[in-house]
Amino acid sequence: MLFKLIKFELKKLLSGTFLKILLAILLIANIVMCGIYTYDYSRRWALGDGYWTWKENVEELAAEYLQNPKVFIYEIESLEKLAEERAANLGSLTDEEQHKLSYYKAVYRSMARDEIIDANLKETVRYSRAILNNFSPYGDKNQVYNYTYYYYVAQIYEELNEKIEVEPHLVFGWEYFFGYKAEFMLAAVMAIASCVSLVLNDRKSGFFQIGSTCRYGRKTTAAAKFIAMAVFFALISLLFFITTLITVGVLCGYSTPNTPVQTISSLEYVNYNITITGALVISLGMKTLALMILGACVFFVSVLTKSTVLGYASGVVITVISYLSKDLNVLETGQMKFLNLWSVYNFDDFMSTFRSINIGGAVVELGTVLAVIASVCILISFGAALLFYATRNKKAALLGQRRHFITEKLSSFKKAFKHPLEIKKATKESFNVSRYRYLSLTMYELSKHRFMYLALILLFVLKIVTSVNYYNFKEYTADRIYKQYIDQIGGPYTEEKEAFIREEYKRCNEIAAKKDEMDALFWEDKIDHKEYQEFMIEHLTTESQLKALNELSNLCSYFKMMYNEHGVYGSFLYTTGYEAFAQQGVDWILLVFICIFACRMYLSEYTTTASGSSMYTLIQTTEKGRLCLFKNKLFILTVTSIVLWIIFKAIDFTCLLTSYEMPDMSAYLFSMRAYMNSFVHENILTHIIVITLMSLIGTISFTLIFLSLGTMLKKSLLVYSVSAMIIAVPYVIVNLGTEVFGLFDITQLYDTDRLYRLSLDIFSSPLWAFIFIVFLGAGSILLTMFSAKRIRRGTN
Amino acid sequence: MKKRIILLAAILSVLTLFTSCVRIAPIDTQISTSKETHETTEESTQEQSAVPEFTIAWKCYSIYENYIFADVKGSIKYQKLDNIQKGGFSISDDTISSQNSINGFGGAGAMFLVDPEETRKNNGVPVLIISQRYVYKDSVTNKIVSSFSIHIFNTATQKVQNVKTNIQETIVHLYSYGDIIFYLTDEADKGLVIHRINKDGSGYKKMESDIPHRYRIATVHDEKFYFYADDLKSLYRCDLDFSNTEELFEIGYDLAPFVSNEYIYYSKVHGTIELNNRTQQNLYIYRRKISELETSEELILKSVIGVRVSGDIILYYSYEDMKDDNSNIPRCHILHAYNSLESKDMGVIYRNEDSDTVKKCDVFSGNYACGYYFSLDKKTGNYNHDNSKTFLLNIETGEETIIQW
Repeated sequence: MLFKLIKFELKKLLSGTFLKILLAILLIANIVMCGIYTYDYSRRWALGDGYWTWKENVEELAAEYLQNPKVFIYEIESLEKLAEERAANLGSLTDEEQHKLSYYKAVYRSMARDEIIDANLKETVRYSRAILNNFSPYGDKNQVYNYTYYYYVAQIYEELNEKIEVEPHLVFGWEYFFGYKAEFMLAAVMAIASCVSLVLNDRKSGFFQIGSTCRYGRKTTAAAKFIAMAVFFALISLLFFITTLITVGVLCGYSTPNTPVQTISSLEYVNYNITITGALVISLGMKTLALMILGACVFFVSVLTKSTVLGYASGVVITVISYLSKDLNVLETGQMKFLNLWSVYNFDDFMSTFRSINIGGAVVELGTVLAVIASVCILISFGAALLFYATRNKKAALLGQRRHFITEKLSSFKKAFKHPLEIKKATKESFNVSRYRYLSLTMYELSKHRFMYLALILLFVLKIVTSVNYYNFKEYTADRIYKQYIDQIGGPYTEEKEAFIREEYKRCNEIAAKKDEMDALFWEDKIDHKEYQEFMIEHLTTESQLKALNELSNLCSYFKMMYNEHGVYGSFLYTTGYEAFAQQGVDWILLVFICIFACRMYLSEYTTTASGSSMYTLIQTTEKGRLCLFKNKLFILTVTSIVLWIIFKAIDFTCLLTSYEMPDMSAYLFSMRAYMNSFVHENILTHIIVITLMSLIGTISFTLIFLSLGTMLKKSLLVYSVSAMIIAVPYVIVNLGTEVFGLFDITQLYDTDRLYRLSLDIFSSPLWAFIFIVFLGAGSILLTMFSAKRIRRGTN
Repeated sequence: MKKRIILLAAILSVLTLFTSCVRIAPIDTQISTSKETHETTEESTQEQSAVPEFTIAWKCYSIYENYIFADVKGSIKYQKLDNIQKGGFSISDDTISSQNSINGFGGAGAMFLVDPEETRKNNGVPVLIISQRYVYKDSVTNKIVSSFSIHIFNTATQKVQNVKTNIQETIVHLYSYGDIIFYLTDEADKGLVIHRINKDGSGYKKMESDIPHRYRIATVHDEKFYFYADDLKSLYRCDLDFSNTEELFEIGYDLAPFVSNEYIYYSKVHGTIELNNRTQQNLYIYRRKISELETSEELILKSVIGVRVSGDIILYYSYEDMKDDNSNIPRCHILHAYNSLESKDMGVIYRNEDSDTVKKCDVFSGNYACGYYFSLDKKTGNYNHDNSKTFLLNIETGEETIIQW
């Protein structure tokens, strides 16, 4: 019976349209993100030749190595020796020679992997043994742990080294597969959605009341749901695993998997004697385990609270905590930091080396700790499922009562901020309803959100404080010296200015060389203190001046290169102020406020009343309750966003201009190297205007997107959770080290200069930035039109 | 009842699985022996006076009791002096092998010291104060920007405490005295500037001066701060908050005055000398009693090059031993010692007979001195610094060791 129920639950899960669409979207997103990641990284490692050209070249060289390794090594040594000889005369290898050496070294690292692994593992063992010999524990358990730890490290890696044997061959593809980390986020979204759906779909559809009266409708059903969740998670892991595997395989290809996993450089210290195939199997198992732990926690919360939004929220919270944990400093947390779901899901985080923690002085492998935690989580969740799945809101009622209590308190607090007209109504002896007839729909909508406008006062204060703190210029030496030179030679490059830089360089070196002589003259009383002090002041600055002159000299070379390509010279600029402006980053205060305000626009109407239905059910039956209302809300929201944006930008620009000196606005933008690929005749002022306008368009798009989300999803926590994910997911992926995902980062709608620079960096053109803004703008308009259509048609 | 039995069985099986995977320490009598030794040491350490010590950070090395710390290949490592191992050990025990030796601290511009105060509080396990340089490329202009931070690192717990971060100026010297950290920043035409900050990050103060000077910190003794400047010929003294400054007496240059056994030792210049094709000050070492600074000075040593002090012993090299040397660096092959407690020159305590090497002591603590190892390049005839080797000398026994990092 249980088996039948499990099949039934799986069928129900797989028949849901929402889940099927979500799975398809997430798998496609995984393929796209994995593809972009792999393309970006393989391009970077391909020595500038394009991945497939690089692969062809290394395959040829690998064949050369196999023919005669000694000659191959001799070639490397000759090139290195040549580099040393040239360096002694301030020269270097030519680009072609350097390129050749890089190829040879890359091939050698792969083909001589056995020797390299052998040497590294031997060094590990030697080092561990040396620590043991050197060890003098101080008696406390921490020190005894260290001793045991290195004892087992030496033992494990010595045994491993004896067992591993690697044939010379090229290794490619696997490093991208194991290096791709963003998969967990997508799998987690699917896991959370499917888990909550599994637990609560019966209650939502009304089937629970019938099912719970049946013989197997309670505990057996709960057990079946739990097991079905495990099976489904295994399926999800497999699907994501396969899509990643195929994507990397298509873009890069793979070398043979029947070699020790230690041949992959990031997995050199895996302390098990397994092949890449074995690692793939273990990786799949760990992905499933990570999802199971996540699912167990979400299952537990959903079963206890009977609430969809709390279920989703718990999943999001756990994922976010895992994400933040992975960035903790291992110096502070020890190996414990790897006990987060993110690291567990990614093989080369958790398994890349022998990991253990100190429990009572004993060395406990991290895998064991993970197994215990997973068992406990799963057992508790399973137990909760059996005990509470079918409870008729006994616990939920308690929680519901608490929620109701909190909601009541909030509404009575809100009532304290009565509308002036309402107050007047209450105090006036006669009740004059006609006053409300003269309030326009717009004004009434404004009055409904007065609470938000009051919050704006706090936000303005916060914004002023953060801007003043950020744009707080503190002079420092390197910047001051650089500015002194810019004051002398600022403006477009000329040969006279370059000559001046060279003369200054020479003068500084002469002063530096004269110091010993001046010291001796002073201490022999041959010069007086005043003369010595004047010289010392000059000398004191030479080191900083030389650094500044080096940079200016590099700039001269850059300007000449740009002149050769484009026929215009750049300008010497003092860019400290502009750097502060460009690096300000996302204005989270504005973003969060607009997100909440936009989402809340319709959520306030969907709030369930005491009669069990929402206010909106009534509103949409009125004459102006659909499209007219929507237009009013849209108008208020857009105007508010624009006004806020203007005020916040005004605060930023005021703080910037009062604290910093800005560069010459008419200078060409490419004078700053990050903008090398920008439009040649674009000046700094034009650029600032363009990115500011892009930011305005981005703000409006942002507002429209979240308004539409509010109208479509209707549930508060769901809307906020989805909004948070839309903001957080690409931002998080960017912070995983894959900068290219910044191209999908919605927060770039504010940080438009960063988007612009990213576009220049990846595509050597700013066009992507404009396409992103236009695309998102158009998308947001379409979404708004879609929402308007739904509103006009009427909705429950 | 059945359910309880099942639950109990499940818990027991989990516990069994857990304990079977737990690795217990191998029995080792050395551990208990060392524990006894350390407890004795710990008691005697605590018995020692808690008078704050003035400690100087050096760029590359630090010796503390039985440990030597070194900044090697961009990473701070340590060795036990009675059990030198090839490669040394990272201060961070998270590393699984010396291949992962980059522990986040060390490298160009970094300075560190073993703080005696914090180490005493830490049961004798070294605590380092590190000024670390962080370099990054500005994303807009591609300019290389560096900033400094001061950290306290506990080698036992591996915890990092930030004292002050994001210091835009270049830290060129670092010192500690009790609960205070002093540091010098190079501000170019504004001179070398002295700062102080408490170890908990509070109490920051900068020494203000109308005229820029290249200040140097001499020492801190008995709650008084002694300093001088390259272009001022006097030694100055003030309170720890830089107030109540008084000029003491005239001193020489190129040697930081130091305190040993209630005397201030300082240098005075007697003309110049030519060494390795460079003109240098001919420094004589004098001393005055701290309680009687007005009393006339006493000449202690002549023609000194490089002086280090640890407790009662002062080590130094003499120009007289090197005046005929034409090598590209001062060979410093004869090390002298002076006992400040007995006011007696102890003469030569070490002589490097190997003319193909230079073994120059630069840091000295207790019975050990360590420093740079140079080897002769026979093609060029110059001595070249070997970054991966350190010279260690046991002053008491004369035993020398070359540490290979």
